[in-house]
Amino acid sequence: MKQDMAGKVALVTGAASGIGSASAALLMARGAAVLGTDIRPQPGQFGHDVTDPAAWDAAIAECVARHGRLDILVSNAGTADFGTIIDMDMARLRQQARVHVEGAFLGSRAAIAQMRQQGRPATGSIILIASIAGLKPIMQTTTYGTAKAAMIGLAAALGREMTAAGDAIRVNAICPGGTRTAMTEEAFGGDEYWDRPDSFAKLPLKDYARPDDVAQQVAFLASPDAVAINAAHHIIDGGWVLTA
Amino acid sequence: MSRNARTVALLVAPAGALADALVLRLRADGFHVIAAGGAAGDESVAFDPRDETAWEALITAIAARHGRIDAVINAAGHSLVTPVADTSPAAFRRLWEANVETAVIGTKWAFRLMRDTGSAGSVINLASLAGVNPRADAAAWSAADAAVTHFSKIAAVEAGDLVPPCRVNSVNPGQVAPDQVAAAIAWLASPQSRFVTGTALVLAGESYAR
Repeated sequence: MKQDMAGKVALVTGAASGIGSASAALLMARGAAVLGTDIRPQPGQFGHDVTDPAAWDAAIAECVARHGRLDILVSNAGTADFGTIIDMDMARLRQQARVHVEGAFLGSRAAIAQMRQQGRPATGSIILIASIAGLKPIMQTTTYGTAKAAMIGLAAALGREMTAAGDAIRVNAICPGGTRTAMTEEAFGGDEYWDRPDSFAKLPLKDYARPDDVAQQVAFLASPDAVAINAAHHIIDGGWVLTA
Repeated sequence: MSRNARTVALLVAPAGALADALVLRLRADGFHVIAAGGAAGDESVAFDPRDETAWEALITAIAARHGRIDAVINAAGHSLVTPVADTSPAAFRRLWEANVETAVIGTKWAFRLMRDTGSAGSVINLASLAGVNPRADAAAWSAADAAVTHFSKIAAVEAGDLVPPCRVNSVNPGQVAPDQVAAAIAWLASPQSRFVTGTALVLAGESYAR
């Protein structure tokens, strides 16, 4: 595998499972040093609640202490919450906003501060893991989809802000469609959902994504191949939004 | 019909810096590059991408020689920066033909080549940032590249019905270096992007600096 991320340092949140775990592994395989963080950390990972500003300071400090710098932030930590609005309450909406929107906001702010400390114009790549639920109406996503839509807006606004400030810090959002992870298995079930013939038959690619598929897009956006790609969102859904 | 062990890419583009960067990158990524329309590849073919007879002959030859196609890149379009008041119907038709018709016809024959060789291929249609963001003094160009961008999404739905399913995406660069456009196209041509279809990959570069 090409080592185009050698010398780069990445911080990946939600790294204990799913897309975060696959992204951390692929960035390492391509030569980057990676600090994985999680609210329930695996051995070697850093315990990290992304909704807590002080925890962000500690995570960035840990990354710099271990690896000397920060070049790539993958803001991936998230939780699923599906249900009709009649059954929703403010606590659930606020929980979605805190984890996804505040988590991405606090992480981006802390990462940008660190990247700017390393030199101006600053360089870096920030990748927010959003969802196609933030782009297209998908049933029962009034809290999850609303929060994910805000992350897509955050990436566009922040990316332009970095360019306007003269920094080469790129901010992009990834919008996965159906992706089989521990989080989505908890929400939708196991093989009985993912392998049911009608679950993905309407999609052009007639399949769901594996965590490594999304990790490949993370690695592409973090790599030198993507230095012209900024302030955008990137759909990886097998064509779901085309048929939704 | 024997099947080439190497991945095979068809690049339809006029000679120039972008075509050179694409051939260099695709070859570095392991593709056997068939360059049609002016660029120099592993094979170089004189080609008019507006001519369906030429397309039929080309895909027949590729199917016979290689038995597979992994990526088809339609990059025959050009820009047009002219205020609406000064845009002639003749200039608009030339642009539409070069940008939209070549993408539509190129995708059609790419699908036939993928179908005939049973290839899970990737079609990449080169449009521009003007195709997703309105650009002053470029109404005709913006409209044509918006057509290419939207066409690619519709084609992506149809590509799902091929066996095996194929992919279609557009690449929409602003003022960006050729090697960066080549890197984006190479990503969409590669199996690493196997779940990405029906998207517009926007390369804003420094376009948001103002």
